[in-house]
Amino acid sequence: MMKNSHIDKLTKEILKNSLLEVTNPDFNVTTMKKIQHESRKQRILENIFLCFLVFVAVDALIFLVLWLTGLNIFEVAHRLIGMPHQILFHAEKLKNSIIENAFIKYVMLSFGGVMLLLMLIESKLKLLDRSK
Amino acid sequence: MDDLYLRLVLEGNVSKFSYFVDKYKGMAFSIAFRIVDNREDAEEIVQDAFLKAFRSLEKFRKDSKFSTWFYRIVVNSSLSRARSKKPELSSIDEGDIADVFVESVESAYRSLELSDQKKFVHLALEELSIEDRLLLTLHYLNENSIDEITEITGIIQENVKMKLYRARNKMYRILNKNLQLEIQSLL
Repeated sequence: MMKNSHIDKLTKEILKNSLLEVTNPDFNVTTMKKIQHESRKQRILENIFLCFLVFVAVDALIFLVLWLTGLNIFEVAHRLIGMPHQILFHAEKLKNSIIENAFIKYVMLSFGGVMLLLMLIESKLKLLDRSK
Repeated sequence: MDDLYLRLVLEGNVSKFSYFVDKYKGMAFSIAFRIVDNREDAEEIVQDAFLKAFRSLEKFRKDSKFSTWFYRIVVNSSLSRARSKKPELSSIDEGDIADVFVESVESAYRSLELSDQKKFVHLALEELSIEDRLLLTLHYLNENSIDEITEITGIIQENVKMKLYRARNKMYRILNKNLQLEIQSLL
């Protein structure tokens, strides 16, 4: 009776001849291009999420500052109904905001938020590039 | 070594993923080809499998080897592609193989030149079912253990042993038939 181990050994030897090679010379390059593309996509998605978080945080901060300084840009909203009133309300709100400097504060805070966001993205990308 | 490169890739060094592409593309291609039976499809499947592996690299828990985890992705992708393309091949008689079969296959096989040996092995594998080909490739070519095959294919351990045994026997029957035909044609 032939030993099972011998048959196994012979099968291994026979099947070694079934190994196939990737013949496409560009296989590695194409695969790595796809991987790099995927990586960039992931980084962009991460950055979008980061932007969203910063945007929410900056807006929350703006409302906090406006609340602390006693400026309420929505204070007359409930009194006005209808489209013309809405437009007038916004125009009046904008005028009041400029006069009371709330708008300028808003712009400055937004500008600060965007700068912070850019710095964060830049430092994150620098970290990623340095680790390459 | 795999762990080191895995850490580098996870730290953001994406170019280091080429290590895995280089190391596993051959075996992954062999596995995919044995299932889908088409070079272009197999290459595409392997590329997609690398992409899937890269996407879920953070989810890889290291409970198993990277290769086992990756080959499972290759097998699943290949099987879903194969299912949509063609039916399984008919099965061969599954009885035990007599020693005489193995002996005659061994002597006839050894008398062949390397290129002919390859040809006969590929022909024999082509006549087997997808599952048989896959199990033989994993166990005898890639030298995966029964546990690893269980993890890669999802077939339970006892069934893997039985199916492997049957697949091996079928392969010898086919090899014996083809080699005998070759000998007769030469006479």
